[in-house]
Amino acid sequence: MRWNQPNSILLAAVVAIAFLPAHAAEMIDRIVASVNAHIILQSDWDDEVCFEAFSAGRPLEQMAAFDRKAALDHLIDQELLREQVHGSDLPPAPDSDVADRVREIRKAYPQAATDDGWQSLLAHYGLNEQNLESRLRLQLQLMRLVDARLRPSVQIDSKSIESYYNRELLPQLRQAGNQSVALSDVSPKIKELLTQQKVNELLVGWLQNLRSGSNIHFVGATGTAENLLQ
Amino acid sequence: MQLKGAFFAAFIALALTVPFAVGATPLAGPAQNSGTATPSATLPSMSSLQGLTVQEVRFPDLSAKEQEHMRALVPIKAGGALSREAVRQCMEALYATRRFADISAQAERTATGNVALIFVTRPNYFVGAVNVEGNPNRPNANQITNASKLQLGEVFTAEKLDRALRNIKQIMQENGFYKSNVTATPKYELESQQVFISFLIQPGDQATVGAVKITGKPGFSAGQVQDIAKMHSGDLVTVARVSNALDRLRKKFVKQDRLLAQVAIADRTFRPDKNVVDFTFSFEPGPKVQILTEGYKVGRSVLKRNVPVYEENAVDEDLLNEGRRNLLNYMQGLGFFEAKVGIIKREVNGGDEFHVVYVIDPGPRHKLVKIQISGNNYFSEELLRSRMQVQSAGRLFSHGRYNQGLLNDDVRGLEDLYRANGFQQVKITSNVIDDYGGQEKALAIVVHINEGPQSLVGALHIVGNTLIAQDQFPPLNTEVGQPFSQTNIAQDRDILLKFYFNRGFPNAVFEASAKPSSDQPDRVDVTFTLREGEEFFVDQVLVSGMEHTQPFVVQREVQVKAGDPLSQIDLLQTQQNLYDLGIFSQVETAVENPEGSEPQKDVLVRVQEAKRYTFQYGVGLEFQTGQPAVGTNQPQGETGVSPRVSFDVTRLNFRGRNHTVTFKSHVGRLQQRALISYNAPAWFNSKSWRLSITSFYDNTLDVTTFTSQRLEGSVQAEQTVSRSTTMDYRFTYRKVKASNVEISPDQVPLLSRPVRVGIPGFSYIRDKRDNPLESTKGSYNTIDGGVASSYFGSEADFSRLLVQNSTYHQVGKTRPNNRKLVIARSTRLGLETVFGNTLILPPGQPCPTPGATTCVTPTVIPLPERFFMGGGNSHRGFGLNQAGPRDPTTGFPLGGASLFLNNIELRLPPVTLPFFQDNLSFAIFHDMGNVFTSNTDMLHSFAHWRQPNPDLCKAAATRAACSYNYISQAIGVGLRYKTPIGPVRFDFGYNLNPPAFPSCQTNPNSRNPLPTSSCPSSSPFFLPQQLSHFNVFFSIGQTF
Repeated sequence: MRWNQPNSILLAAVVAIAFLPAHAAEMIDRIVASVNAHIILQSDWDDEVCFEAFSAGRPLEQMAAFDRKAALDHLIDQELLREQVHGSDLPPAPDSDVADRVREIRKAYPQAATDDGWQSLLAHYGLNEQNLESRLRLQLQLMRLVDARLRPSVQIDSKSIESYYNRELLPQLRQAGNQSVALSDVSPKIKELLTQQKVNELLVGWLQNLRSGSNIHFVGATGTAENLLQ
Repeated sequence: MQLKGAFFAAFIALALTVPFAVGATPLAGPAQNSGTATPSATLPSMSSLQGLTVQEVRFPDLSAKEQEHMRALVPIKAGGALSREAVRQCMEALYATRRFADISAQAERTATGNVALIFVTRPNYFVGAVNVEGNPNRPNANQITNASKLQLGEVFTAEKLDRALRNIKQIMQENGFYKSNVTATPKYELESQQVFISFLIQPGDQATVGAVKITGKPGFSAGQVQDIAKMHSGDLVTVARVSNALDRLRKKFVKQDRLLAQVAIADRTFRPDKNVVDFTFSFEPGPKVQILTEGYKVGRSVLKRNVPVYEENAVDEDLLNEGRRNLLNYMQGLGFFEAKVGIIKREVNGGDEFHVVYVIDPGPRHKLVKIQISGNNYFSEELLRSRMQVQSAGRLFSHGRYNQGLLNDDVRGLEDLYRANGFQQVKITSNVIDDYGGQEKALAIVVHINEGPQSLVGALHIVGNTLIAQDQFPPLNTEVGQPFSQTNIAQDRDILLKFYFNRGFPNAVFEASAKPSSDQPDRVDVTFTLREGEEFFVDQVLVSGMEHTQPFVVQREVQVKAGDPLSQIDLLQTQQNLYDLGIFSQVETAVENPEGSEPQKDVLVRVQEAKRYTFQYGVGLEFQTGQPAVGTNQPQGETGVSPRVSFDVTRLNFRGRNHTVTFKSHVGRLQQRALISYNAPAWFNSKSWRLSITSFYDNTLDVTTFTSQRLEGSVQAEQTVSRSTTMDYRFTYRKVKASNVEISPDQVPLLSRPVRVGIPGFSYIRDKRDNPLESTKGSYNTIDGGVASSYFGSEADFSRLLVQNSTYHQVGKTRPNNRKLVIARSTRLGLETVFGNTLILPPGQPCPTPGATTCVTPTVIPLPERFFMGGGNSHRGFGLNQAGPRDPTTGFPLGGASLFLNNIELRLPPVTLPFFQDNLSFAIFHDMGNVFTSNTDMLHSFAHWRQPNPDLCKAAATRAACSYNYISQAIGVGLRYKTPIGPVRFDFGYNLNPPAFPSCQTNPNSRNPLPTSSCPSSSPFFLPQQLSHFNVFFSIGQTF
C-alpha cells in the first residue's frame, strides 16, 4: 500500500495529539534535604533565601549560589536547634519581643514608614506580616535557647575586658578621631560583647556536635548541597 | 562545616548584640533595586494552582496496591483543594514512611480545569543481606561483615556503602593486607525494596614487618624490643601479632614494677614497593611503683590480694580507692572496726620511683559479740539478719563485721524492705553498746524496729488500655488487699511495658499514682495509667540465605507471622529456634525500615548455612606391650607397634532438613570400630518427636585375652509429651561374638561377652526437678521396660522392667534458699521375668535340675542383660557392679533378675570457707538394697538384714549353697564441690554387712595352700573372701 501525502500528514497529526498531554505536569515542590526525620522542601529554601535577603537588605537578584547554600545551611542549623528546643522546657518568645523586632526591622527601611510601603516591601520579598512574625518568633526562641544553654558557661574576667579596651577599643576610637572613654564606663558593654563572642564560639562547636550526631541527608542528584545548586 | 556554623552563629549573634556605642552595626538598608522579586528560585509559583480542586492523587512509580495505601496516608484527597501547606503535609507523611529516598510533587491541569496531584518517588532500599567472598582466613567473613556496619533492615545509602568499604579496607590493612582490593556489588530488589550487598575481596599478598623503630626511653635497644615483642622483620603483619607485641612490652615493664608505663605504636608506615610495614613503638616507662603500708603491718600477699593494681597492671585513682576499701574490709574483719585507711602518693629518687602508701590507723580492736533485733513482727529475725552486712563473730569473721557505715546501710536497707511491704512509716534505730556484758572490747548492737501501720492496696485502677483488655494482662504484683509497695509498682511497670512491647506496642508508656483511700484508713488506692501508643504489625516475613535448606524447615521455626503484632520476644525466639536447628552458623532477625511511620512492618530473617560436611581424621601409632599373640604360645604377648587411623564425617543439613548423619571410625590392629548414626529432630514435622538410628560395629582384640566382634543397632523415637514428661520407644539389637578367649569368660567385660539380644522397649521419664544437676525440690520418675524374644532375634526370652522414683525436699522454712537442707531419696526396683524355654538358674547351677551336672545347655538371661548394682551412682556399700549373686567358682558377680535399691541422702547447705567460699558442702547418706537371682528371692530377702549363713560361703564343700539374699546396708558421708557442670563428688561409704563369697584361685594361698577337689583343676585353690566395708567414690554429679 502506498501512502499519499494527506494521509501521512493526518497520521502524524493523530500521533502527535495522542502523545501530547493536554497540560504538562509541573513541579510544585520537592525535598531538598532531611534533618533526622524532618524534611526541608524547595519552597522552604526559597523562602529562607528571600527572608535572608530581606534581613540583609539585599536585592533578591544579588543572592548568589553561595548565599543560597548558606541559606540551606541555616535551615539545617535551625532545625537542629529547634529539636533542642523541643527537648527543653524553654517558654516561647513573648509577643512583645516579636513586635519589638518587627518595629526594629521596620525602622531600618525608610520606605516602610507607611503601612502601604511596608506591605509592598514585604510582598517584594515574598513575605507577609504573619510569616515574618513567625520567622522572628522562631529566631528569638532559638536565641533564647542558645543564651540559656551557653551563656552560663562563659566567664569573662576583668583582664580580658581591660585587654580588649586597650588593644581594640582605644585604637579604634583614635583611628575614628573620637575621644577616648573611661574603662569603667564601657566595661559592662565590653563584657557583654566578649560574652557574645564567646557564646558564638561555643555555638559553632555545639552545632558541629549536633550535626555529627544527626542524620543529615541532601536529597538530589548526588546528595550534596553543592549539587543541589547546580 | 565550620564556616556554615560560624555564619549562622554570627547571624544569631547579630540579633543578640545590644546597642553599643562602638562597633554596633545596624541592619543594612533595603535594596533600592526593585527588579524581579523572584530569587534564583527553582520552582514556579503555586499561586496559579492554589485553591484548585484536586481531581486525583497519583503515584506513578508505585504499584496499584501501594498507590491505594499511599492515598489513604496523605491528607489531600480527591475533591480537596490544593494548597502549599497541604502538599507539604503530604510530603511529610510520605517521607515519614521512610520508604522513599526522594519525593517531588507535581501538578497537572486536567481538561476540566482541575488539577491532578502527582507524587514522583524514588524508593529507599533496605539492607537484606551482606555477603563476603574471597576473604582470607583472617579477617574471616563474619569479621568483615561486622566491619561493614551495615545492619540488616536499615536504610541503605551510598554514604553507608562508602563507609563500609572504608571500614573493610581498614580491617584488611590491620590484618596486613595493604594491597587488598575490595569491591561491592549491590543487587536491588524492587518488589521487597531490599538490597543484597556482596563484597568481593581480593586480599593480595600479606605485608610483612619491615623496620621496627623506637621513640622515647624504653631502656632497651631496638633489637631487644623486637625480641621482647617477638616481632621481627619478615614476620607477617597480623592483628594478633601487633596486639601481642604491645602486651609483651607492657608486661616487661610491669615486671620492673613500672605500672605506669605507656607503650603504644606511634606510627606504622606501609612501603608498597616492598610490601612491608615499618612500626615505630613509643615508650614512656614511668617510675617504679611500690605499694606500701604504714601504721599497721600488712603482708605482701594480703596487699596483692586486696590492692587490684597488681591484677590490672595499672595505677589509677579508682583502683587505688578500691584497694583502700578492700584493706578497710580486711582490717574490720580482724576486729579493727574503727580502722581508717588513707592514701599518700609520693615520688622518690628524683621521680624514678612512685610510692603509694596506705596509711592505716587500726584503732582499738573489738569483737562484735551480739546483734539484737527487737520490735519486728512482720519479718522474722532470721530474714532480717540475712539482709544485714553487719555480722557478729562467727566462722567467717572471728571478730565479727561492723563499722558505723555498714550499720547505717543496714538500717536503710531494712527500712527499704519494710517500706516495700507497705510500712511507709517504719522507723529503725540502732544502738552500739561497748564493753557489752562487762566484757572489755566486746560490742553489741541493738536494732529496734518500730514498724508502724502497714498500708494495703485499697483499690487498683488500670486506665488507658483501649486496645488490650485488662483480663489479658499478666498477673501483677500490686493487688487489692496486698501491701502497698513502690517496689511492686516498679515491677508491675516492667511487667506491663514488657507485655505491651511484645504485643507490638513499642511506644507504650506507664504511669502510676497513689492516693489514700477515702473510705478505708491505712489503705491506698493505686492507679496505673497506660498510654498504649500505636500498635505495629507484621506485614510479611522475608527469609533469605537458604541454599540447601528446605524452606519449611525454617518456616516451622519462625514465630512471627504476617498479621500478628510485632513482638520482640517472638523475633528473639525465632532466632533462638533457628540456631537450635544446628544447621546455621549465623541467624539474624530484624525489622525492615524500623524508623518508618507505617504500622505494618516487614520482618527480615537472614540465615547463613553452616558448612554441611565436617571431616575429622587422624593417623597415629600405638606402642604397646602385650600385643595380641593369638595362636602363639606367648601368653604375655609381644611388644610392638600398632598403627591407628581415625576418620569421622558429620553431615549436617541432610536432605535440606535439620537432620544429621554421622560416621565415626577408627582402624588399628587392636581395634576396628565404625559407627553410623542418623538423627532427625522434629520427626514427621512435629517438634515433639525425634528419631535416631544408630548402627555400630566393633572388632576388638583385647590385650592377650580375647577377640570380640560386636554389632549393635538401635532405632529410637523420642516423644516429648509435656515439658516434664518424655517417652522413648526403641528397638535394640546387639550381637557379640567372643573368640580366642584366653582367660576365664567371667573376666571378659560385660559388653564384650557373647550375646544376641533383640529387644523392643520403652522408657517413661517424668522430670519435675528444679535443677537436674543440683536438685533441691521436685521429683524424678522413670519406668523402663522391654521384651526380648526369639521373635526379635534374641537368644533368650525375657521381659525387663526397671522403675525409679526420686524425690527432693527442702528443710528449714526460715532459712534462706541457699542455706536450706535437702533430703533426697530414691528407690529403684528392677524385675526380669522369663518365658518360653528361658530359665533363671541359681549361681553355679549348670542344669535346670538341681544337682545335675550334665544336660542340654539351658537358655538363661544373658549376663549383660541382667541387673547389676554397686558403685558411686547406685549402692555405695559396694564397688562397681559388685553387689548380688556371685559365681561359686570364680567369685565374680553374676548379676540377677531382680534389683532393689533405696538411697536416702541429707544434703547440707554449703559451708562458707576461705578460698572455697560457699562452694563446698557435705552430705550424709544411707543406701540399702541388693541384686537377687529371681524376683522370689527378692521378696523373701526384705526381712533379712544380714547375709544368711555366710559360713556356707567360706567352705569349699558348701560354697554352692552360698546365699546373697539379704538387704545390704551402707552409711557414709560425702563431700561436694560446686562446679558449673554439677558438683564434684567424693563419697565414703561403709558397708554395714558386706557379703562373704567363695572363689577358687589358680595359685595357692596362705589359708588353703593345698588344692581342693571341689574346685576345678584349672583353679584348684579355694579362697573364701569378704567384700570390704569401706568404699570410696569420686565422680561428677549428684548420686541421683
